[in-house]
Amino acid sequence: MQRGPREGFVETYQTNISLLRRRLKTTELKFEKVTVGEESQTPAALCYLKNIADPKIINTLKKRLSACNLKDVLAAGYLAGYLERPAIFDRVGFTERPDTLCGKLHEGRIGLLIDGTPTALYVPYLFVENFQTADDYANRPFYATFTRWLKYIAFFLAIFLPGLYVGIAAHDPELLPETLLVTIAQAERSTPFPVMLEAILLYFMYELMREAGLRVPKPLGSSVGIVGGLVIGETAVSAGLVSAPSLVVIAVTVITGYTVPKLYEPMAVLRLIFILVGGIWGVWGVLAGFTFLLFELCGKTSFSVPFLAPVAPFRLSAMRDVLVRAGWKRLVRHNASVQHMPGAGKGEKHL
Amino acid sequence: MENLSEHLKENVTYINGLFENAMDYIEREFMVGTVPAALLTMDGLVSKQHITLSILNPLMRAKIPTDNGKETLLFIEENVLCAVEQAELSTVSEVLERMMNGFAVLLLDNCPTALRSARRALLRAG
Repeated sequence: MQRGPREGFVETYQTNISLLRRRLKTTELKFEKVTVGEESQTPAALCYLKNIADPKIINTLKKRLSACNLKDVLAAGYLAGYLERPAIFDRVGFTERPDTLCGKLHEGRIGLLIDGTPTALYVPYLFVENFQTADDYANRPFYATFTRWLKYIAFFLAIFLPGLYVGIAAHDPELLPETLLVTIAQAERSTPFPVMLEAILLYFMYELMREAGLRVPKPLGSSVGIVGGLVIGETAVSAGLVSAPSLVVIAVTVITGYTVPKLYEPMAVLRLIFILVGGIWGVWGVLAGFTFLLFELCGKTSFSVPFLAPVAPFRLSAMRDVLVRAGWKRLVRHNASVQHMPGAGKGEKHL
Repeated sequence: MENLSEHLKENVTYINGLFENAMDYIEREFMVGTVPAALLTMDGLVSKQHITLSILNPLMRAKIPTDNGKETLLFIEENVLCAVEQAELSTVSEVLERMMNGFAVLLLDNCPTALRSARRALLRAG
């Protein structure tokens, strides 16, 4: 159940400024006007709390914005690539909710409201933020902790489940218990494709349906669902083209992916990579891929704050908003400023 | 600075300093009769059209019979502004709190109190 406010940003950035001002009635809240886009001359407002935000991060952000050579800035996403180097995971946060942005400003983050788009950007953006939602803080702590763990598990399943399934079924079937092995073997015997190809085809079909469902006008959306659910799901199995276990695995993967919508894009690509890696090198391939993924996550910083902080580098006190969502009485005692995260400010890398 | 000063310049400079780099802060200096005045408000929380028509316009056109700050404030309160909700403020924190709640605040020279006028605009979002 959603308990938080239902208000959202609009396209006019002045209105968005007043949405923030209405929530933070303090003279520390600053809005600085910047202009982006050589030809569009799009106005934007940098917003931050002067007593909390790190001036170094503000200056770096201003420098990167002034180095932006875009002709037109028609959406917030245009600027993300200028604020941080491209990587698998986003290191610039996006939000459409003023209450979320206010919470981020309180943690020392810098927001950017761009005229013409109802999405605000904010930096630095850390990996754990993908699993934190504004509703977590409005709901009761034990339930927020439960949903947070659900999301962590879902994230791992969404990326690794199809890769592990393909890897185990194709290379290391001895890892499965006997009954499960027999079920999968029987299902696979009657289908014409190898399990890796089957998984890729099913996943490809799902992505096609998702894209089609997203683009078609609303009245046609139900027919995409019928074709997808009945023709692809039901008939493909009964015709013996794909095996039922593969279909279940892909379906579970897809559903789990929806629980962490902010990570949808990297997850979509990573799970395809892991299907390939699992199909070619088996479980060891998936483990090697996982190691490379960890390198990628640990090696990145967002505005000189380690991307994986406070998990790596680790800080126990910060776990009250990572592993669990502690009650507000405990959360307010904790300094959550992003520039004070473990490892922040070391080895600064700028564009 | 806790209480408002008698000097308009001092008040305005102090509040301007607090709102440095805040682009939604509006400060408009003008004359009410012979008394220098300043209107402070936050953009987006009040309607600019309303402020122009119902506060600035009557104030700048009013014939004020005195050049004393306090008397001018009283005259404005009783004869010029017709807003239902008006109140006198004497501390800076009151002024800031009212401004950020969508009121326009009028400061006059030689007068240690400010007048806030209800010009709350309904904010439309989404």
